[in-house]
Amino acid sequence: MIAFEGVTAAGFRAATFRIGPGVACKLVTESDLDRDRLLRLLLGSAPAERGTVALFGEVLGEVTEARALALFSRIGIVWSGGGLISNLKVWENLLLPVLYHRGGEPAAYEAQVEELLHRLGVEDHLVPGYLQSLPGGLPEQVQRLLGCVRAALMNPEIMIYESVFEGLQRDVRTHLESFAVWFHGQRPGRTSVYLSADEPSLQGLPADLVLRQQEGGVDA
Amino acid sequence: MQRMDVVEALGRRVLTFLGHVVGALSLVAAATRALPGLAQRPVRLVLYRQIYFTGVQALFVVTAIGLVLGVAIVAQVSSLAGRSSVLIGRILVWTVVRELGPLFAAIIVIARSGTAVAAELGSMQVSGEIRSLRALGIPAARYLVMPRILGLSTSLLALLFFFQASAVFGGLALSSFLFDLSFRAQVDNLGAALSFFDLSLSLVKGVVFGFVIAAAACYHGLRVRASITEVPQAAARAVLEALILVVVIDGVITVASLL
Repeated sequence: MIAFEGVTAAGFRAATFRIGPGVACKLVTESDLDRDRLLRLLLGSAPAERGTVALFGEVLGEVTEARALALFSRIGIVWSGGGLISNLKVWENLLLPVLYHRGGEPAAYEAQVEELLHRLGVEDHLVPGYLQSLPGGLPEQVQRLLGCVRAALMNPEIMIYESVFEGLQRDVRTHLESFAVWFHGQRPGRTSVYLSADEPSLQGLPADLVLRQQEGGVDA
Repeated sequence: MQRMDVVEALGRRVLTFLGHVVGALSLVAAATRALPGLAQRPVRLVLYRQIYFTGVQALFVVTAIGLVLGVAIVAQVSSLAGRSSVLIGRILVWTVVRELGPLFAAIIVIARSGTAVAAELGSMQVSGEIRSLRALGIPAARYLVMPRILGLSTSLLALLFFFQASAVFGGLALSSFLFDLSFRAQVDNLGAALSFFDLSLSLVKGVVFGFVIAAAACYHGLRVRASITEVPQAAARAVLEALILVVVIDGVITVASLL
């Protein structure tokens, strides 16, 4: 599903690895900067000097922007900062990708949003307040949980967690870890990538594959 | 030698400016291709919001300025050329409908919304929100640029109408009140002086100015890269370049209309 083939770019030298369908993978980079670089390569926003990056079997440098965006819509990324749009209320943020790509009425997603927030350990009485807020006023760990809901609503084939398990309160982290494990099993063949430069933060997550960046390469 | 330096610096500035114009035009082209996106609910929501912020929220200030301008024009005209309702009607058409209406409405929109759009998109770039949108499979041209260009342009047209209507009303009301001229007779004279060509000219200016302002604002906002300090610079550039383009295009359209 994700394949780097001899990728040379800033921070990477002939990096080759594959993450197949159904795999839960810890991907540990040497620094936060390298983590960002890897994500840029994966999203085609920083092309590789040499080598190829492929998503779902399609090489990113060889497809049109429209095709690349279609591929990205099959991935859910939970950003460490939440990645929410600051001028949209949380409720609008959560529904943005699903309404954009699939259409329908917002009310149709209410129950699903509530269920996902419940699974993430958000207390029921806080939900209405969160949903009507602008994201900027909420704590970063809450924004991460909301980012999880937004990504999960799309029912993605690949779910990438970008340093989201770092710096959390213990109970929030436990909820987020159990959510990640539960969500991984919710769709046959779903790939989960736990991406971080801080390996200890990924300790509570079971993984089929652990990849580490070392001296520019990425090895198991 | 110094003269050469000045010429070189000037030439470089002109080339940079032209480069920005080309960039903004390519953004308009991308936004045009993205028009089918209006079928999507989230895109329509951005359009409605832009119309609300640019059009509805500016209605009061535009109407007030139009009213004062109409009063000022009629006061000056009558002090210079006497109390002729025919002349007042013609001058209101020449100044308000053909020239000042589109120009003032454009300046108000540049000051209120051009800066806001450039700053908003610039902040979104810095905070990684545009990267986040792309990762969701949502293109900036379709979700951010197209509804802003469309919303700003349609709002400018509506504001232009309100500006002209309030300026004409203010001018005619003043002359009726001070000079005892019949309001009805003045409206008839104005109607006689106002041609389809005048209205078309005003409409063309409104549409072109709207596109220019929105494209400049979006272009400079999206050009912001890494630093928050680039955001006010982008807003300032968007305002300056939009103003220059609006004034130049206004001159070109006016001259072309006289040929």
